[in-house]
Amino acid sequence: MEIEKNKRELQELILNGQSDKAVSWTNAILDTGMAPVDYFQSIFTPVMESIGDMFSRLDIFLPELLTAAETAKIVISQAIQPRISADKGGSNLISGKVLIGTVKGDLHDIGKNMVVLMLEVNGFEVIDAGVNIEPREFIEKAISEKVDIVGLSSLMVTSMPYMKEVIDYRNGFGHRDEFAIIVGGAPITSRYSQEIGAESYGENAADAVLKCTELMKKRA
Amino acid sequence: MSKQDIVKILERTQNGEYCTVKEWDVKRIPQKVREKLKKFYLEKTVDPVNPVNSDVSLADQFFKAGYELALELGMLCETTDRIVKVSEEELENALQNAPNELQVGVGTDATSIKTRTPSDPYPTMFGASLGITTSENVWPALTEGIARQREVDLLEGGSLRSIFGLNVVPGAPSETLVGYEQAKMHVKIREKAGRPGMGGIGQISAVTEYGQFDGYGGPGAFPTTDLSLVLFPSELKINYQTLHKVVHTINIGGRIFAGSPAMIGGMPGPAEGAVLSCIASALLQYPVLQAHIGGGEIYDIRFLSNVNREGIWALSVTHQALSRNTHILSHGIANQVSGPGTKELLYETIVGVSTIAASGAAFSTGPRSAGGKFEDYLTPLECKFCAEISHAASGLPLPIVNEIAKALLPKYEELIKNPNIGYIVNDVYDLESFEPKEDWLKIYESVKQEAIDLGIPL
Repeated sequence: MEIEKNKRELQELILNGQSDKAVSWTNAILDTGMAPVDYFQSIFTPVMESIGDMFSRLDIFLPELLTAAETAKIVISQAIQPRISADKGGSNLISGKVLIGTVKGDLHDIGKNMVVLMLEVNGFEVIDAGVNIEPREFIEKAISEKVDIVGLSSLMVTSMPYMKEVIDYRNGFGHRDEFAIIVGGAPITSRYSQEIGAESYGENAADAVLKCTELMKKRA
Repeated sequence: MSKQDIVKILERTQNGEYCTVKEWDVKRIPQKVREKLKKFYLEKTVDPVNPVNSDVSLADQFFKAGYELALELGMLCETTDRIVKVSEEELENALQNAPNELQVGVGTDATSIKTRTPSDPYPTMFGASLGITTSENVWPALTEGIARQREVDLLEGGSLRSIFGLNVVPGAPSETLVGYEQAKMHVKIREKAGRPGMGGIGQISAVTEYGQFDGYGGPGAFPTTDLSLVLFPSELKINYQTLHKVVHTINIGGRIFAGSPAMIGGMPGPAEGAVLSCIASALLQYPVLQAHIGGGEIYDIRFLSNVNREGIWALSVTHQALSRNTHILSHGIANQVSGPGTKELLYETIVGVSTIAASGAAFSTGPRSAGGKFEDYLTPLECKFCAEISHAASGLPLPIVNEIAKALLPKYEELIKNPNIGYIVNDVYDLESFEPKEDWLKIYESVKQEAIDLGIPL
């Protein structure tokens, strides 16, 4: 009962973008002695999954999802992560580091933004490279930021070839083992992702989270 | 429409109010949309039980709200982070001066697109297909097959993946190459199909302005009696790629065919919000982009489709609003998800296209076979069917179209999330004889009879 009440309260704070209150509220819970990892797994993560489900039903929309993701990031970075880092043997909450962008020639960003949000609410650190990104820029940033995964988004069939260019660039310059590449977007299919040599394919934002989680397990 | 009008717009892309894309998408659009929904009592008016709206006074209310939204928001130029606003006088002048009839093509093969109202007996003209990726060896015969369907009024055709074996990359010289080469082939294909003066839409393979410059208006390319396709990002955003195409088309005396989607579930929020964003976008295409034909496109963000209940409702309200309150030549797209060779594709077509036509749109294009996701998943047969439905359903009363939608939605709506993508073209269509193969033909004939039994005068 207490857990359910806590989840409801946290959900309301996060959906309303009340980041200061959400941080204080989280600290108050953790001050009662609850282990931060337990808090993250039993309260925080279910709340974020619930918010993701609300979006998939269109009970909330993209602007609310964005607000929730930004608030969630603040709660993680200001309340949860510091406590975990302070614990001896505490694990890092961050599920992985992902660089994501829309490939060159494509200015669409709605799909990419949705994936960014879903990855963030699921504990990934995400660097949003933006839209119309050159293949070389993806690779340079992936290396400099030491990411685990690069996510490529395309909504236009005519910009799809740039996905292969990014993969070829990575492989050609010998960086294949340094980070995985996942692709997605309206015209992208699993078949296409295999043809171009991507490590994974995300059918939608929720699937992207699952696939990134799988990729991280393979890298562990 | 004049050069001076576009000069003023270009100036505003350089001296309009600053606004980042993030603020536009996350603050300005949602806040203004919600404000208008509340002011005009339009919240929670979506009716999934009766997806084709028959309450035209509701559509009129949406128009008033969308009109205010257009004036108060304007459009954001992403390239310069400046808002381009227009005055009410400018908007009214542009709408008054917008054509109420447009001949596309030449001679006896030409098509007249005319202003319509809901249930207008003059048919909604139909262009096929959407820019589905097509392989180089399939494209010529497939495009000719589409042109041979006499029901299809304008020819667009698929988007080429490669040209002379070279992968087409937007913004690269390969795009400049495909823009011109595809245009030349397109013109010749119309001759080969026995319709040399048929109107066309160019240039679907041109993502950027590079493919458009030579592909539209150049010698041997899409002539200026065709439509110049100018697509732009969702939710009232434009950019210099868009404006290059606009200026180019104006320079050579062409016709601007503009369009951009409003997303149910996206920045405007619910279906009602997407309708407002769509109406505002359609209206602003006239003063800002000097459009001859303006788009009223809707997508449901969950499926990238609009043949679900909320999508159909939003399409119907949008096009009723525009056609009842302006004389613009509005355009709508039914975004199917099922693929060639499936019953579901044809059911989705009946519901989506009849809604657009009966709601008063002047022009429609399609189909988006298999959601537009799979190379060569397109046949001339569904293009023909789309055009047949568009013409036949145009004069139907809205309550009848609603009953048709209610009868057919249960036959496919559960599959929208995981649709049946059907078959690649050569599996179901003979591109040498330009005839559907037996199984696909049987499905077509069966579903066509269902449509007739439901009241569509095919």
